[in-house]
Amino acid sequence: MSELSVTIGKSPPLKEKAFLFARKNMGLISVLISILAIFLALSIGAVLIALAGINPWEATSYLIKGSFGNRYGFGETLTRFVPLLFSSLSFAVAHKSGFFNVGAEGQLLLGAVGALLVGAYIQGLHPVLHITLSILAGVLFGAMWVGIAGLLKIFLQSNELINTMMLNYIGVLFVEFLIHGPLKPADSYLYVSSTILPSAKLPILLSKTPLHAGFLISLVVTAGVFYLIYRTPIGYQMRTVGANLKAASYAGISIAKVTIAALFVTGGLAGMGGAIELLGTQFKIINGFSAGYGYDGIGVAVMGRYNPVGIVLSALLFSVIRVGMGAAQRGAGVPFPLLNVIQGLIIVFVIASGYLTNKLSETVIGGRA
Amino acid sequence: MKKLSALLLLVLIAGILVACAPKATPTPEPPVAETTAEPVAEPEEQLRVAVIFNTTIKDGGYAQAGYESLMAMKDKYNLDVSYQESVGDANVKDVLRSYAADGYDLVYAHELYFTDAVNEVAAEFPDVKFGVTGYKADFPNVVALDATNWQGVYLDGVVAGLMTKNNKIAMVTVSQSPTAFRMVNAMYMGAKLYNPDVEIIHLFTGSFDDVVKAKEMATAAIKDGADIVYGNCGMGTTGVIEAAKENNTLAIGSVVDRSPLAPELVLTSNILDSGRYLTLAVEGMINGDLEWGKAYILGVKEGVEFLAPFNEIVSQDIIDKVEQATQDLVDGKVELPANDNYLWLK
Repeated sequence: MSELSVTIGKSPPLKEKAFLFARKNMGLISVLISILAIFLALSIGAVLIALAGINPWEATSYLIKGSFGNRYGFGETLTRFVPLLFSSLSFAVAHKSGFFNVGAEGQLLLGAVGALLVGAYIQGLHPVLHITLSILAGVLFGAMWVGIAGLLKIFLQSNELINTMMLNYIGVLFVEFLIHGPLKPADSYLYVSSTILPSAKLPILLSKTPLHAGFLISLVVTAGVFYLIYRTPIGYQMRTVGANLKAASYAGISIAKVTIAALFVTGGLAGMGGAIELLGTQFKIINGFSAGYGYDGIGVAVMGRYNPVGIVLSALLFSVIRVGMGAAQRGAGVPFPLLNVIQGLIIVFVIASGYLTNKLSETVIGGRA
Repeated sequence: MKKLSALLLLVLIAGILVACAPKATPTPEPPVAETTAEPVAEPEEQLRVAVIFNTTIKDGGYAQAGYESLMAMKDKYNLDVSYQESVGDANVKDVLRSYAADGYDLVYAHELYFTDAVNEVAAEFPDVKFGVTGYKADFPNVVALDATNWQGVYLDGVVAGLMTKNNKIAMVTVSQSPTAFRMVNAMYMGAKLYNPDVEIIHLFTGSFDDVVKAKEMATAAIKDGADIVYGNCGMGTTGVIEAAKENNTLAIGSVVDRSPLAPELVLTSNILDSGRYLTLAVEGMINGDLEWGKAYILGVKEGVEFLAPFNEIVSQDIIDKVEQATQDLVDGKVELPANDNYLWLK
């Protein structure tokens, strides 16, 4: 404290009090800063909307009404939340294990393909079994897809950031090929895959909305993933590898084994997201099956600071924005490009606020929050 | 210093917030006045029309034409309109349901790939009318409107058949789909009408946006003796016209008027007026003469397909013959072209 008084100078009592307060309530402060950042981004967005000649209050009210204010919007928001949550979990697990997986988009698509193969072509199963097997197939396919990048990294030390990114494009085109040929039903006029059987469809949770049981699965999986990461030996090993490869190696952890486990989890999660999106909302694979969930998941994970509560909240925020902005466009006529700008503003501000929180906690605590 | 700068940053953020908040408050006021004034001026019951586009409404083509016809009708019939643009295939069902739940009278999806989604959602909202620029209307509250996609090409064929000197016409399309076969055969039938010796070289790019490949294919066809090139392959069409320009060969465009690309060489273009679908759906709803549960296939007769103004080198004699062919199409005298193989192979 003496050092503090020296740096700050003339009026120590008040400043010291502020620092003490900040030191004690760092968690609260970081949440407040994030909220302020979102508010700030929305204020700038409001100015932009006003400049486009639209009443920003009207737009905001449509945003809120559209995403939470009515039954359908509420259900839609929680439905959009599911794939976002899975792809951000996928990114967060990889991040914790020292692996950069920006390929959730491709893994999600391949996961949907896996789920479709089981969900559409295997007949006569009990719904519970059919859904479980379809989701497992999705997990397997997602893991296989990231596995390509993983094996390249383990055996050839090639950069996984580039490889997972490249596999996205390959995945998108591969799935496009599938729906133009092998998976396209003969009687279909358009290029789409076959539809999954009724027994593979996830039940609806809230009638007259698209909200399906995948929402509950996603919450359970989130809890499970963080239990795995923070409360199990393999999770500890994954985090150690992620934090310091050399230290982990000296500690006798088999890097290859841990990396493969982490890969399976990260790819499996993205694949599961795709499988649930297929079984819960889309029922068949179409061009543009994933509305950029794999990419948005990265933003969600960074914004949620790789922490379970943070990720759930930021995935919710992203889906509120996705759904609410559609409503703002329909109701208030806010042009679509402007909505993209506002979404971008929110991401930039929240990430900047994360940086600010880190700086602040370094200052008052001497470490990261 | 670090601690101070962190504090300063906080203060700065607070400052910006304080500065921003009041700024945001006064700006909205003028629009408030506008929006509250509107409902007062329109006491009578308005028809509420919602339209969904899959791209931006500023795409200079398909969606823009739809948007413009929507806005024209908004003024003409005093409609209450709303639209959502750049809607992905993954989200379209939610947008359709939101509009239907909002009480719109007509919810129109302006995209072929939305056909299945429209039919699926329409089953859930039997009291709402749905329209789609598509091929299928499974329910009594749905109407589907699609173009023939060949009648305009048939008219192109008449022009090409009369203008070609080598009797070789090249066509560049995206694929060998049934739609493409029908277009190729329509061109062949149109050309054959006044030129029994005509031959068609059909090439396909496999992509809606491969401009380079389309250009290479058209160039190859020109080297092979074709003296008229026709492009109907999305973005690639510009590549076909480009090839015509480089080789000083006549060309025919498609979908929109392509003559600005090469005014000297483009003879005409078969236009597909995608705004017409919307006009037909809305006017049909107002006049009550639209048959619900039906998939319409619209062409020259309905004004969805027609030819762009001709190049001045196209003689009056040819224009008269095109008019005759147009009349034949309107009268239903032209047989539907085959869509499974080339006519000359049959």
